[in-house]
Amino acid sequence: MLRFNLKTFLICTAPALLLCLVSLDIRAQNTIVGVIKGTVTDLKSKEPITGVTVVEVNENDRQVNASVTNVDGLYTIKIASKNNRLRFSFIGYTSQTLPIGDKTVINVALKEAQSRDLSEVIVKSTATQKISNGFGESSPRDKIGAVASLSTEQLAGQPVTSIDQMLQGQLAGVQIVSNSGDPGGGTNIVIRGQGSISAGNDPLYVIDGIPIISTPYDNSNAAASYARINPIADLNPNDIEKIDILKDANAAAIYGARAANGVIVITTKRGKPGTTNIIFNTQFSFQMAPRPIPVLNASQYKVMRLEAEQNNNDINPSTNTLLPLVDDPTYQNYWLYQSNTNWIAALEKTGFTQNYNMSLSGGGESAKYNFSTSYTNAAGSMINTGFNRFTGRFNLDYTVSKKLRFTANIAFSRSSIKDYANNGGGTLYFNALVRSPAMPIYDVSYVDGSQLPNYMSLGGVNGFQDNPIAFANTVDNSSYSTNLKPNIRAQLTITKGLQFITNASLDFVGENAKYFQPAAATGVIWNSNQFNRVDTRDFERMQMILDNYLTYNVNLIPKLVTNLLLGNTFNTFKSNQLTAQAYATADAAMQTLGNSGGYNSVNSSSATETILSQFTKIDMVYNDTYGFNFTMRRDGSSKFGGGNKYGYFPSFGSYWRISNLKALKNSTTISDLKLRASWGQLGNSGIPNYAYISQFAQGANYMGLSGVSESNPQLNHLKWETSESTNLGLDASFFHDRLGLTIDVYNRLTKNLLYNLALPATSGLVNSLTGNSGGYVYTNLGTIRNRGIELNITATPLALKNFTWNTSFNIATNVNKVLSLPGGTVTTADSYGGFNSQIKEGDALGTYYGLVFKGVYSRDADAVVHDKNGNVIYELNGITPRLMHIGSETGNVYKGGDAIYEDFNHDGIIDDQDKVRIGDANPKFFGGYNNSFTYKNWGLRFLIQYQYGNNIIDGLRLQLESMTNANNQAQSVLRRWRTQGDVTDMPRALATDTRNILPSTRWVEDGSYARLKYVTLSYKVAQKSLQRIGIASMDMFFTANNLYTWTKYIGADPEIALGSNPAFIGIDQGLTPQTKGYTLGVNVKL
Amino acid sequence: MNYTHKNTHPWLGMLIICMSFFPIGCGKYLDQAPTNSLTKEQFFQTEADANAAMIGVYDGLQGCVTQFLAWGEFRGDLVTATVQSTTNYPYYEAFSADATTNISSWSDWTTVYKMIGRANIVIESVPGIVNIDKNFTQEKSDAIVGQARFLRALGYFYLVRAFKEVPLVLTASSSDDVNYRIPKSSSDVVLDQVEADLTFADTKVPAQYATDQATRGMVTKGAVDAALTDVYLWRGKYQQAVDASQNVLNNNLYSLVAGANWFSLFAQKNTSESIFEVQFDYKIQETNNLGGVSGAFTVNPVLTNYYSIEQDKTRSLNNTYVNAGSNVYWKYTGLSVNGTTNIGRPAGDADFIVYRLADVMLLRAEALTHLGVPQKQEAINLINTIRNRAGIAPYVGVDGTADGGLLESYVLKERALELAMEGKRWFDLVREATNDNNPDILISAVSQSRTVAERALIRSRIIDPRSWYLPILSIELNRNPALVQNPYYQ
Repeated sequence: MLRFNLKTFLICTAPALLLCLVSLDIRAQNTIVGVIKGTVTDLKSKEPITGVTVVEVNENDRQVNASVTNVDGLYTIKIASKNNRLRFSFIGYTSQTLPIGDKTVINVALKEAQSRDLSEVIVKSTATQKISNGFGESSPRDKIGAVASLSTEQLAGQPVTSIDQMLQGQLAGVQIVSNSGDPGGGTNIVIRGQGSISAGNDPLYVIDGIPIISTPYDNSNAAASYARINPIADLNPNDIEKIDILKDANAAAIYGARAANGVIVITTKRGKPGTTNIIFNTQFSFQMAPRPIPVLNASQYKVMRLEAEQNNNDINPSTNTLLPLVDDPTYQNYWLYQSNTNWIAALEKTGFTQNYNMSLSGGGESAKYNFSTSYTNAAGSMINTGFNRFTGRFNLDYTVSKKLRFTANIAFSRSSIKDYANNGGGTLYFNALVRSPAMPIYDVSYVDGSQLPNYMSLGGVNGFQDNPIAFANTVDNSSYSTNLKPNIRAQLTITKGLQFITNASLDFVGENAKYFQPAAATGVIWNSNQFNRVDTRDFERMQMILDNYLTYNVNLIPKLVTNLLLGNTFNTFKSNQLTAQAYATADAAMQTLGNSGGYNSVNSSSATETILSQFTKIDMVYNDTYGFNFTMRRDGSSKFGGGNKYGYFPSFGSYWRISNLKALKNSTTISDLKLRASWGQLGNSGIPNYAYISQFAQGANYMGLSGVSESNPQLNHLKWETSESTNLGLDASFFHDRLGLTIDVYNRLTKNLLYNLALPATSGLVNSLTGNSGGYVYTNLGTIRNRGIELNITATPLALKNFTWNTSFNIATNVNKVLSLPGGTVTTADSYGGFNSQIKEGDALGTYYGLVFKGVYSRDADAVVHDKNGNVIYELNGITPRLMHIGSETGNVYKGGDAIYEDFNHDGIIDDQDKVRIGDANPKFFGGYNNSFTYKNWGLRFLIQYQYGNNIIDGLRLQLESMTNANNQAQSVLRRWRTQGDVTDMPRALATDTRNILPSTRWVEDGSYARLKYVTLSYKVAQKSLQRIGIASMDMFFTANNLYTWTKYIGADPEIALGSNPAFIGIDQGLTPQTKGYTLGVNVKL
Repeated sequence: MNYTHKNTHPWLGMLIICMSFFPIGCGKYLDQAPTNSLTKEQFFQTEADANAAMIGVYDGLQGCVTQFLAWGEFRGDLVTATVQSTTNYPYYEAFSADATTNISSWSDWTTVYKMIGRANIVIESVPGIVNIDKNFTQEKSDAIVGQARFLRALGYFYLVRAFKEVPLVLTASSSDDVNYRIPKSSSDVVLDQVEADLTFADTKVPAQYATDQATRGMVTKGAVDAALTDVYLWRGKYQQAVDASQNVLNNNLYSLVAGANWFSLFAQKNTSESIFEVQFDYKIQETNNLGGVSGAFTVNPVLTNYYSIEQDKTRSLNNTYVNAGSNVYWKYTGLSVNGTTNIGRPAGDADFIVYRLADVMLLRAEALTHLGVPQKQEAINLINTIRNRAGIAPYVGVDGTADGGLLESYVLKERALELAMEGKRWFDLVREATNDNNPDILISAVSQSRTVAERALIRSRIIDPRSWYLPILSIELNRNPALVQNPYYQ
């Protein structure tokens, strides 16, 4: 067994290093022999052009000296040799290179470039921007697969602290859901539906050609919900030039086995030749506290609780449950229940975010650079939550000669997040909603109720962790992330059209976290293992990637442009983890492991994953009319064994530009019309490392002797999950690109689903059947289909001299269906409020089953059995009507005030047989509507993001209307059933008994919404007044976020975090909702 | 260095490119192994590995003891379920045919199959070590494989007695080439395999080990002979049972403890009477839940009546049970007895005795009752030996000419007095009811042990012999489509 070691890495990287050595050819040439002056003008208008790069190049095309034209188009350049040449270049114009000779004045008239070459200039839509797939750029004219792009212009001026927020609502078929409203909370991105059950649905992120680590620390096995940082949040949004999303197999094929869920290709800003640009951005934002959910006050609460206990036959007022409710001054804890606390108000505040960004960019013909740094500090809308980030990035392009170019990028970030722990007892937002309002925040004297300095720690429903204010103020739950991403790329031109590129990169994500829970928060005493608890976590991940590839661009026959790509990739991913939990530090000020009195747990682990890939791609375009591509990637992964290590992922596609037909060629209406079709396969290997390896573990001891037993069998048949997609697309533009239209129709099948299957106990590998533990092995089974239609329209309805209006609209539908699943149905472990997660053949992932709620029995006599015609069924004696039962024939009897559930089989028993499909968390369609208006120096933009037709299980409402335990409840329970004959839709208060809160349609709500995501008003300060004080440009903006949401959803926020189980989505578990925010920003360019 | 690009670059470039596309030394790049466990290639290399794997099987055995106790005892007539155990009551003790919605841990065969699975790995992989480790002889290999085959046989013997027909898994679940979803085999097929395993083990395992604890706590020839006696008797092979038990009687490792020390069998562990005893020790965190499980049951009046009629002081109050409110079994919870003060042992510390000499003597006696006159006489002698040890009156005036059925009832009663709450009683009832084709032995015993109100219902259920076997958990049926629920529960 040869592990990945330095030697191997050196052998593998040696070619790249050699290449670097032999190519070093830097010879300084700075002798000055003369000065050349001149003017650069536009050939057509004869106007002078400002900012034209003038470069002296030698016979090897190496840059020797450089200059730039001023406002009047004048330049002066010192030259090193009269044998050299001068090159004049400017964006939007065709470059010219002229010999120097004996001339001292060289005037040049530049010709405006053809429209085909203008693609670097943003005219009005993304259609003219190049598409990057990380390995190279291509023109959108030649697009075959499904790609959605966001241009610099669309990205600019959005007051976001994280790039995932930039994408929401902007791209058809890309569903983006925030995890919570807390700063640094992260988002889930799902491209074209969820296709995998156990292997993950996250897309691959690629920055400047390098796939990065994008998943946060896996919290699922941790005892507490530690604060964690999404590595994507470590990226500074200001650094981003553009984002391309590769949605289908054809577009993403070059990434093979890593791209089954799509690829997000991020291109960062690079230096451009010419003058040095210095840009400052500053933003200040206010984040409003979430919309309150009104809860009961102390006296309403006590009445409700008494009623609930009495309905459960707990009528002795001296029991421990009733004493706190009956206001008996002789009760020893009387004073602990005499407050009227608004817990939520004590927890909320206005959040404040400040964001500073500076960048420096520029360069000449041979070296270009872009340096940027940023600082973000966000304080959340709940006390003591926040996010801090410092980033730095340095991008360098260096042209050694005409044949050799280097690109080096280095990005650094350090961020920290401070969050609440939800240590098994729900979030603090949730605890603040449900904690008894009769209890005080601070402890009180038992004698007279006077306030004491310490927090009151008396347990509520979730025990001693319930005082949210004590937790928020005293518990330190912080995580720190250090992120370093250096990479270097060498590009060697061997002969005309043939290039060799080697690319070496490192991605390091180091995360350490601290959790300290002082006794002041919990009130536990010294002998508890929760007393002054300290947790420490260290998690380090490192990814090393080496790419080598050849590209060959050739015209084999006239009009046929062929591009060949052939390459390989080595990818090593290592992780190390250490976690420790200790308790009983001597003092709350001593917060490290060394001060602790004992350990609850200490664990460490490490893992290595390797991927070895080869790929080839052929692109052919004939006469701008017919396009064809073919991609084949072979991936080998350390996650699979034997003959299954390698997977082959082919893709092909083609396009036909209909608008090149003679009949359409001269049409003034249709500027471009193109049909695309493609097919391809991608892989997914998102399972734990070593899953296929037969493993034996220690710990099976007998008579004090150490034994070893099998912990995992060898999985010889385990292989890649394959995502196969077919895409049909139409690109059209009309009226000289004033109106653009893209339609894609796709069918995506995920085959050989990786699934963690439960084995029968007879395998000998199961620990307990009834405890459902052990005995799971990964296997390939079943098929899931996602299919849908995406439409994107961009238009410039108005383009006047002083006023323009640009608009874009996108809409997408995705229909998810489990096509086949051996066994028909599998139930996964997740559940919430009685709702279970299950995956069923024929259903979509995220389908809910439950009872049908039909109201509340008004009287006891109403809770009788009816036959299918609605007639009352009688007992055998013919007189007494048969009563409704719960669970079984001997179960409890329904009474007045209880929930009415549809008894589908009319057997008089409400049980699992009456559960039917009651909802689906997948939206029927979703998208966004974007508008921007400019009038002179003023700009106005707004974005509406929407989704329609999805259901949400309002779990928070389930908790706030349950009336089964000591939790405080929403004010809606004031309309509850109280006496015989009451007609209402709110069942009676009933302690302990869960009959009225069974999983049913009562909790399933319509989650459709449309949200005014942002409105931005911007003003560009006139250039002339600025130039006098040395400022090139300056603009200011004011943005309002989440200003208004149109929804029928009753809960705090219809944007519900997806969570980690694709079969159990759309459950509102009471996370911090999205809130309104206001931002003021200034951008200054020097 | 003054070269020109034109001459060198293309060739050098091509060379570099070729090198980078066909890297040398990267062939094993994709082989990665975990750092916190051993792979199968790393394991099963040395004698120490073989021993460690075998210890793993014994660890599996430790996990089985509560199921062994429950299956052998709780449906019988010597126990009364307390309130705490009512969640499991409906089909388990009340023989209800409805096992669909009830998830009872008493039908969970997980731990037994876990032990069997580990034994299968040892049986499959240990012999190969002989070719790798020179110190590991064929004899050593056989001794370990013999132990594993004994434990596999023991597991299946319990399974067959509890469920009747069970999946017979004989290959190690070492890879996904193995079919994990296999159907049930008939009890005869399973028991033939049990006999084959035990016969193999009989000649291969050691007679004793270096320490006395190991001699009682690990598989010995004595343990194999005891198990063979039990299996042959279960199958009605009486002469073979007699022959096998003779080997136990001849084995000088085993002798009855004195009547005065009878409770030391449980309190002191590994007495001279013990043949095979699953070892536990709270001091090294090897514990069980035998105390808690037996504590969910009180002594049924059937048993206290036996003791009082026989005037049995050695095995009754403060020995088999204590009167902590309501006659609680004491074998797994008591440490010492002095008549007034009962000292409990640390939780989970008690051993579980699978076979002891008195058990084998009574099994032998039962086999002998089915044979000729001289054999029956020996049966009476064996029963009287046990009674003498307990200080109660021997049977006089009965000899080898007595009716076999009468003698069998003596054995059955003596086994109740001697072995109550050791996981034997229910199997004794099923065995005699089945072998003698006399279901009434079981039906009347069990129904009489219930309250008057329950008797009619229980009788109507257990009159169907299929109810004597447990249902398969619905979770297991879901995981294994090849399994069919046992007939009584369909």
